[in-house]
Amino acid sequence: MSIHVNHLTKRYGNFTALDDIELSIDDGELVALLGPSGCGKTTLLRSIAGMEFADSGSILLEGRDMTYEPIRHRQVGFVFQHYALFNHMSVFENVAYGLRVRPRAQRPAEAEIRRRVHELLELVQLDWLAKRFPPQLSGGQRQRIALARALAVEPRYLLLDEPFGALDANVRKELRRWLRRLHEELHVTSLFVTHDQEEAMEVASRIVVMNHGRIEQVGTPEEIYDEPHTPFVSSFIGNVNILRGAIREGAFHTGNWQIPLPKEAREIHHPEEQDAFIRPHDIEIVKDTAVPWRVRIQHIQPMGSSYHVEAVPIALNGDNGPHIENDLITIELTRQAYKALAIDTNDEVGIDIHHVHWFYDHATGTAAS
Amino acid sequence: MSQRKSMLPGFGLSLGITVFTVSLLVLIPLLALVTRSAELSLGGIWDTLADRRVLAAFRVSFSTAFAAAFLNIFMGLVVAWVLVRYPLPFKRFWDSLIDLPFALPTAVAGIVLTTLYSPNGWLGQFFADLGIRVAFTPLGITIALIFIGLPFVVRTVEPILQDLDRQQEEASTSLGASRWQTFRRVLLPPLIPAILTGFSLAFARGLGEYGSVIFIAGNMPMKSEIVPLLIVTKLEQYNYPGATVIALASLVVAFVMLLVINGLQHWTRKRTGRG
Repeated sequence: MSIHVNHLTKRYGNFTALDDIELSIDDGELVALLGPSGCGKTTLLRSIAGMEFADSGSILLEGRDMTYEPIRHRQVGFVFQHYALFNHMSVFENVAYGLRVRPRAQRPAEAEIRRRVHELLELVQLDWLAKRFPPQLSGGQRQRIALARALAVEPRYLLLDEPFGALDANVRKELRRWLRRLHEELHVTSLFVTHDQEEAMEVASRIVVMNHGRIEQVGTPEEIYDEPHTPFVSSFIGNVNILRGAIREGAFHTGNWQIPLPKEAREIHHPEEQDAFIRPHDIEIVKDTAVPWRVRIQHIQPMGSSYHVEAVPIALNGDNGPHIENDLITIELTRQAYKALAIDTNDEVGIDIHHVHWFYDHATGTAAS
Repeated sequence: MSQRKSMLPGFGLSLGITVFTVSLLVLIPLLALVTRSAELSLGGIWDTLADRRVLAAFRVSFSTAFAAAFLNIFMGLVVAWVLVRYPLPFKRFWDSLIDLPFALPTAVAGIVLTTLYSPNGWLGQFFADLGIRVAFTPLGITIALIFIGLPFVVRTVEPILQDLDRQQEEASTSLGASRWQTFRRVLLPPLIPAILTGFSLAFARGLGEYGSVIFIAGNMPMKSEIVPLLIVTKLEQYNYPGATVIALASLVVAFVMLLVINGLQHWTRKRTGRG
């Protein structure tokens, strides 16, 4: 069941929540809406659900214009961040709710409701809680019940608003995996909002990155990570070192550091301003003293499977070192690389830069060295 | 016996103050009432209570207080709903207006209502055209008691209504429920304990209300005479035991009814997993 969003715009007074949004989601996809808080992702989700109505533009569900149709006619299942379970009803009645409120002619018989509810509770593996009340359940259990409740009406679309946002880290991890498996089983077109890039990468088959009411990029997790289209995407998805400088004579100059440009970008001349985006794992530490870019290690942070090294760049001659955000370069080393290097804080080492993302003002794509 | 330290200090002191206040203000006066009533023999008590005029007064008092409290459920719910849910102009003004029946001397309310609802009053004349007498009938008493009891329902329902999760309503509509189904199945059930509290407060107040009622009631024995007035009448005739017996009977009946309402409240809470 496809979703098409055309030129959707919504304003709250002077604040533009959605700015000319264009988005297509195919039948059976599991898509993440990712962005910082206030970027419009929840407004977009609620507009698709029919809980908010846009100022202009349209929303097509399966090709039918549903822009101003109220939520109860859209056949969407909605899952809220804070569950929104009916606290005065048992778990069973919560899940049965969508069936019980149907017009008499479409309402299933009591035995059928019973069967369906237990089937759904088994699907979310909580059949044994049927007689409990929501306040007696844990957060993870509540959210699974909320999902079962949303699925009871056999929605064509499943919309989830920060579904795991209120849960603690372990439960969140478990539920993510579980949601992905559930989606593989049911294949209902699903759209979920998150501000957690890791969550989006782990669960979604496609990610929509939003910022300031606009879509920055749409793509698979790999595309978003490996080929970010904008500086925002690059810095929002994963960590990145941003070097401020300019492009002159086929090289990037930051302070007295020079990084050679890729071949296809040699003609570009940006003497004023150009940032270079470098992922922490695209930097290698070398002990060879001949390497021109030198840093002093300030802090080593073990992260379990990897090590994060924070280093202060050293100017070649004089005091004009590279201009970096926070004045620190972050380098990510694998366990093996770290053990092999045997480095310590205050060591002076060289760095080798393997990959840089460039975002040229006038270029549409990226040119990577 | 092991001593367990409580997180909150001063349990002994606060319990002492509670027992002292409740005794001084409630238990001892009630005890006096009981002992004073005991001056009459059982036969005397029976004769006092079985009097047709007394029974009629009980009927009037309980039926009007019940009717007023019952109607206040609906009116109070609507008022609380409007105050909580809609962006009214001068909201604080309307909000303070609700509490006015608490502050107004009840006699003033009674006189105003009587003037308005008497057959030639501003409102009473329209009712008179329809052949309905408001003032000096149980209907008038009910109106006075609605006026007195409204804030109880509004003020008990309001905070619960404020705390209701708006997303539960959205969840309900997303599952296909109509506005009415959402109200009846999602909004109303959590309000029921508060509604019952408001009802019992309004009802209890209605039973004891004197000032605002005696003017509009007309106080015709057998028709529009209320229990509190009957007690005052007995007192004026220096029939103290008679007055206390009626007071005690009124208290016992009210107490039993409040107990039933409390039980009902407990039951609804338990049934919805909050017990």
